[in-house]
Amino acid sequence: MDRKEGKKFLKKINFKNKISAAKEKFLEKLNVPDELAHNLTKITMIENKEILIEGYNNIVDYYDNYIKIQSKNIYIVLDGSNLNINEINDSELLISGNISNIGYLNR
Amino acid sequence: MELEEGIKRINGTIEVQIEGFFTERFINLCKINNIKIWNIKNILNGMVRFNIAIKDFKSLKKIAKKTKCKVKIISKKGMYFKWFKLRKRKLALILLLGFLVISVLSTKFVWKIDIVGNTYIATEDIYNALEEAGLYVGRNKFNLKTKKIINSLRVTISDIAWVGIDIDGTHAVVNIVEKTKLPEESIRNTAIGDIVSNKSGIIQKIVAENGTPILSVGDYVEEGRILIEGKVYSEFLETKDVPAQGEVYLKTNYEFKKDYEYNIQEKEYTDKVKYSIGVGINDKENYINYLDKSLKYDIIKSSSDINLFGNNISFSFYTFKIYNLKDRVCSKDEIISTANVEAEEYFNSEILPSLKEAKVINKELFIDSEDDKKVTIRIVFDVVEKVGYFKERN
Repeated sequence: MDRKEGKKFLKKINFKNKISAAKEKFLEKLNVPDELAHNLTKITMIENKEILIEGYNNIVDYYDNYIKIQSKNIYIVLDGSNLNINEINDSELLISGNISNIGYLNR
Repeated sequence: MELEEGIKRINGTIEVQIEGFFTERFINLCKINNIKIWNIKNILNGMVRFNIAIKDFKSLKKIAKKTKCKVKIISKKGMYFKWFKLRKRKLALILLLGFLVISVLSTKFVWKIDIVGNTYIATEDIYNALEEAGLYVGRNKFNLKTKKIINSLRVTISDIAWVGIDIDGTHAVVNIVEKTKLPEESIRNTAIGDIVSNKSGIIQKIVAENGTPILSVGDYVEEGRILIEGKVYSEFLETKDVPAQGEVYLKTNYEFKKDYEYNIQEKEYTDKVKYSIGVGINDKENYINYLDKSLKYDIIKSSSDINLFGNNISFSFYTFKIYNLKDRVCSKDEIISTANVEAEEYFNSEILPSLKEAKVINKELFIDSEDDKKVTIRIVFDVVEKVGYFKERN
C-alpha cells in the first residue's frame, strides 16, 4: 500500500465514523430506546416463573432443563426445570417454568 | 391479526409430537416460515410436543422432511373435528337443516299484532276488523298489501281517522288515530233538551241553572221522568227553548236480602298441608293430583303468567289445606251481626262505585220471615245521590 492509498483509506474510515456518531446523536435526541436503536435484545422477567425475550435470533438448544438462545451479540442460557415455550413469535419468545439460573455467553 | 389467530384456534387445534435430533431447528424453521406454534414442551431429549392450528399442519411436512423428524398427532380439539364426527349421522344433520329452514321460514309470518293509539274504540273490534281485512296472527308476509287493509279497516270502523301499519320483522304495529268526539259539555251548551231522571226516589234538592224545574223537594220521581225542563217561561215574552242544566239529588234506597240458617257447618282446619305444581293454558288448569278424595281441601294458588302468541300460559304452585266440617247452631244475634257485615261489604263493593256523589243517611234491618230452621234478613240502605242525565229533545 503506498502512501496515497493509505491516506484515502484513513479518510474513508474517518467519514464512516463521523456518520455513525451523527446517527447516534440523532437517535439520542429523538429519545429512541436503546434496544430499538441498536437492535439489542430486551429481557423481561417475572420472578423466576416467566421470561420474555424480545429481539432474539433463534433457539440453539432446547431441553427440559436447559435452553440456549442466540441473539445478535450474545447467547442467553437458561437453567431450571419444566421449561416450556408458551409463545413463539417472529421477534418474541415467552418461556415459563422454574428458572434457577440465567447466564450470558459471548459469541 | 390477533382476531384471525383466535378464529384459527377455535376452528381446530392439534397437539403434535416430533421426534428427532434437530428439534431446535424444527422450531426455528417454524418461526422463519411464519407457522404459529405454542405451548412447546420438551418431554424427553429429542421429543417435543406443541400445539398448532389445523390450517398450518400441512406445511409441517416440508420442515419435517428437512430436519428428519417424525411427526405424530397426540390429540385434536375444536369445531372442525366435531363436525367431522357428525358427518356420518345423517339424521342429525337433516334435523339441523330442518331446524334452520323452519327458523328462517318462521320469520316470514306475522306472529304478533299490537294496536296503538285507540282510546274509545274497543281493541277487540279492531282485531276483528283486521282479521276480516286479512291481517291476523299467523299470516304470511308475502303478498301483504297494507294499503288494502287500511282502506277496508277504515270502511268497517267509521270512527277511525287515520291508520298506519308498520311491519317490523314478525311484529305488526297498527297505529290508529281516532276521530275526536265532541265533549258532552259542549253538546249540552248547544243542543236543546231536558234533564231526565235515571232513578226513582224522593227529591232532596233541585237546583236549575238553566231551564225550569218541574218538580219540587219532597216529590216522588219515577225513572225516566223529566226533572228540569229545557224551557224558560215568561209572562211578557214567548217561551224560549234552552239546554237544561242543573243539579238534582234524590233519596233512593238499596236492599240486601239473604236467608240465614241456624244450623251451619264450619271449617275446622287440620295441621296437614299438601303441595303440588301445575301448568295452565288459557284458563284450563292441570296440576299433579294425588289428593285423597274423601278429604276436603282449601286450594291456594300462586302463579306467574307468560303470554305466548296470544295464549296465556301460567305456571302455578298449589297449597292444599285439609279441613273437616263441623256442625254448629247459631244464635240470632250472631246471624244479625254477620248479616250486617255482609250487607256492608256488598253495598261498598257492588253498589257504591256506580253511584254519583252518594251519601248513606240511614240503614235499617228487617226480619221478613222466621221459623225453626232459617231467618230471612233484609237490610235497606237509604242514600242521597246525584241523578239525572241530559236528553236531547226531538
